[in-house]
Amino acid sequence: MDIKKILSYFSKTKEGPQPKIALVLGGGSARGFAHIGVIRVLEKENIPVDMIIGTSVGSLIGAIYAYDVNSFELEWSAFSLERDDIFDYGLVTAFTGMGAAKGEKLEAFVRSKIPIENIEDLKIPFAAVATDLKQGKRVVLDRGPVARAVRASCAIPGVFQPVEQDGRLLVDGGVVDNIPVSVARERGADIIIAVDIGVSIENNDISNLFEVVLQSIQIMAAENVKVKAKEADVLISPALGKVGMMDFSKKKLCMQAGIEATQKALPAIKDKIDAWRRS
Amino acid sequence: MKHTVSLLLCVLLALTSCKTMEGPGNGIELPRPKVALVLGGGAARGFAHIGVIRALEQEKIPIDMVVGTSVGSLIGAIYAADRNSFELEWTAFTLEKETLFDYGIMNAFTGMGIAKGDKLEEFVKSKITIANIEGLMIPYAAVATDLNRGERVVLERGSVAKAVRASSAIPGVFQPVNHLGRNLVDGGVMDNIPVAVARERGADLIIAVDISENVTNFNLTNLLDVMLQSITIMGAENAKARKKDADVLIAPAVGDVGMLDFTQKKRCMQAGIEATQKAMPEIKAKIEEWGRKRLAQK
Repeated sequence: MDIKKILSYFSKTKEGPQPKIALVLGGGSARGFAHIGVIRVLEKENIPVDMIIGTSVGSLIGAIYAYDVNSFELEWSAFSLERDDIFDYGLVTAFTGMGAAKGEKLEAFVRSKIPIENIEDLKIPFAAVATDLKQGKRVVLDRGPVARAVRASCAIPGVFQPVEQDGRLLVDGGVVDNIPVSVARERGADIIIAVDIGVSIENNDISNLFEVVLQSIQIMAAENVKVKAKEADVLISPALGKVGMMDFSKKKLCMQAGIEATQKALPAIKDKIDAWRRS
Repeated sequence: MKHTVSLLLCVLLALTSCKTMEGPGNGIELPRPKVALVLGGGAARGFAHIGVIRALEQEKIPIDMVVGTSVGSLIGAIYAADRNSFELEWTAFTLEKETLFDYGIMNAFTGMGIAKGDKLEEFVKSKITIANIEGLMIPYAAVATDLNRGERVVLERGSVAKAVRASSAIPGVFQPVNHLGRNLVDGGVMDNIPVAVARERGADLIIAVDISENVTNFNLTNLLDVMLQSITIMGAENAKARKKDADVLIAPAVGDVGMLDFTQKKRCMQAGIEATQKAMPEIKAKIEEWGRKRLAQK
């Protein structure tokens, strides 16, 4: 046991019982850089995170943070991340396969950032949410290979190929639950902080079948979030405006928005913690 | 002679649809609520809606407003045109997949959907001789989605056929419909069971029909399959939250019928009839309860 843990143990006992706090990170592709800003502020303010649940890009950011609980490393991973590090597009895969990008690059990226194999070994309890495409059911990945789980959770239908696992075809968790507050609740979280990075819906550049379906999927995910986000104890919605889902050039702006929205939410978070302690 | 008979029928209809209902046994007429029928999306499973309408008609449950999404807008419009569930049944009996779907492989590559939707629009025109929604016998609205803006669009005026076509334009299957200066697709993208629309239009009692449950599909082989199945799942998720707001929810057991399976129509209708019969005591109780409350307020 290292000194930090001993110290935190004493500080906890001094303050009495601690609520189990969950951080729920929603989907929204490149807008997910905002999650990093959120984590930075929570860490700085010593808000303990006892559990991370993520969908899509939320699972990617969440897994990296759950591995070594280091927002500085996370930031630097983000600074250098480019679209091509993740998307292995191929025109041919769109016609021969079940998605335009295979997803292998994304999985390799996760492996390069997280040198351990399994979710069970992450420092913070973690779960990624995916969708069983054949049965239309939510799948909570909380065991086994991290990189595979993240890849499945991020497999936007049509963009990435579905991930085959145990006879199931897994796609992006956003199809059933783009902001998995309910998963955190089922796992016994006392206080749930959820981050909604939303979607930039307006799109006046739709010209083919693929774009029609993809835009429909995004609208549907946004509608889904409207319902599910309400269940969070504290909802953080960074002001990301019209940052496009595939726009990797706005990462700094996204992180900044995440920082600001979280600073604004701090009093509410602290109130919830106090209220829990009193009850 | 024919005219006199139809005139008589009209008078009779007008009398029976008078907005009062007899209270049981006490001779006092209870005021009656404005009843809305909300028909959800679910493609070929929509035949169940017909069974629901048949059972409501049989039990003389008044329908003052019909709001539909996707196939619900199609069935709803045909019924709203002349309140005739027999015609509706006959239409269903003769309806084949090819009557609605004008598939073309080339459309998938050159256009924005596999089927154009012209056939669907023609079909609606052939069944409903009234051109505009305002002329329908029952107040009616179809729900569509503005694809560019991600907004719900309620179509309650203008061309019936265009409205149904837009509301039914499943993304990827049908091409989006250019209507009222917007690019419209299936209303299910925003609201697959539009209870909210009925509420906003002043319905007192909303009976909603959900045919979206169970979306299992083990036959997925290409990119389009993946995307369409995702949309089907998302539509069902959307309905889960919205159907809770209905006063009475009817969920016919059509979960094992494929979304594009036209061979199960009779069974779907049967399921619609059964589910509605089961819901009948609740429907009647709620109508009476509303009437008593209203009477007490007076």
